[in-house]
Amino acid sequence: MRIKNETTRLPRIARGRSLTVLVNGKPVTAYEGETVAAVLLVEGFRAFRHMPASAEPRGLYCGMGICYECLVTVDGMPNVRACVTSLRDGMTIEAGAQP
Amino acid sequence: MNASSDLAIIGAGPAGLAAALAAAKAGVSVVLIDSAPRPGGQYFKQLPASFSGSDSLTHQGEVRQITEALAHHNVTLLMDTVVWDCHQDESDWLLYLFGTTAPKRLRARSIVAAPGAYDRPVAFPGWTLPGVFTTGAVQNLIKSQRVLPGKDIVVSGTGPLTLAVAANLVKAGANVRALLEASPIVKPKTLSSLTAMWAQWARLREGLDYVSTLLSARVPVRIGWAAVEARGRQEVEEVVIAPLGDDWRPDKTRQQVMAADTLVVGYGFTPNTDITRLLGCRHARRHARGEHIPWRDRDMQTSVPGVFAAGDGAGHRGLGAGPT
Ligand code: FES
Repeated sequence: MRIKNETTRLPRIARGRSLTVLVNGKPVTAYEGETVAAVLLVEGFRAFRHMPASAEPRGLYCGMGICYECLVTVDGMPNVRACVTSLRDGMTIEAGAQP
Repeated sequence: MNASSDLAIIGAGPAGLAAALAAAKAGVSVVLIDSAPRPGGQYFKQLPASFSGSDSLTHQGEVRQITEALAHHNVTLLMDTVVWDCHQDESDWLLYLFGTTAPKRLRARSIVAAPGAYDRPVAFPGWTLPGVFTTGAVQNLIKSQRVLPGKDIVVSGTGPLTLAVAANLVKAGANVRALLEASPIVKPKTLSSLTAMWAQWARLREGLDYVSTLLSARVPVRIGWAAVEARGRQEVEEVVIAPLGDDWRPDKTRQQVMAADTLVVGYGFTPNTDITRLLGCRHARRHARGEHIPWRDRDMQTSVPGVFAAGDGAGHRGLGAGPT
């Protein structure tokens, strides 16, 4: 779910070469070296997923692969940790859908 | 492809890197394993390899020094690699690995577990709401990914890392609405209490730099206060803050509501014992900290012969502990 866009890429750093990923089917330009979590935040996603039963929103929490709160679907594979997954050109990311 | 070495080190943070260098200098063949794409761990968190530019936030120089030294010795770095199982095979250990460039199995005579630590999670109403992050998550976003996590931010918790995070957020252009230090005794404006309360923190000059950043940005600092609730429908919209009593219970009669899109929480770290538990090491409970650490003898050997534990994951505190 896209709510608002307060997250920004910081200046004064040369990022990797640009690449295109599909976020819920929409082509998005990002950079080699960025994580799935970073591009989702920049795209305005805070809720990366919703709990199957309660529909509570969940998003990035520990940012280092420990808590499994940030799970999204990457290239059709469910339950991938967005915070420790680096982007690849053409990657498809499914995130934020209500159950 | 299978591989073997004298020593497998799990975790390439400060402790794992130091252990690798010490072992390699002693003539031991080492395989150093980490799940991250680059060595350094959380403390020496590096920029992604494809990023470049002047970098005052990470400790690139320090890691480069160690990795260059390692290159002169018999050390194999396996990055992007996870250890998903291990068991004893006669007098050796077999480690089962998962990673793009890693062998499927690694045979090692001994293991050093240097898994590090992670933010101690603290639960409160709304703590699972998107927009509530740990200090570690925000440090990663600012220092490595170079992405700002939000715009109007409350930082709450205790200890030096919340101060560092608040200052880094200010420098990155965020509006830090408040820095809340839960411990009622810390007075960040006085140097003596900084040294007394946060004695584990060797890098005092960095600390003073953070304090002056916060002072010049006029960030409100409240001692003895904490965020007690995060509110919002799909993400953080408001943060409820309250003063704490001596028993750290919030005084709800004096609580205040702040508009914010982000709440950063940091109450120190807890050792990561996944790997030492997998290896069957005996653990001891530290009641005061509410955490478990692997039991060790004077040589840092755990209860399992041939398995050693080092760094924050063994209950040490902060940088500088690792290299010992
Ligand atoms: S945010 Fe905790 S595993 Fe990704």
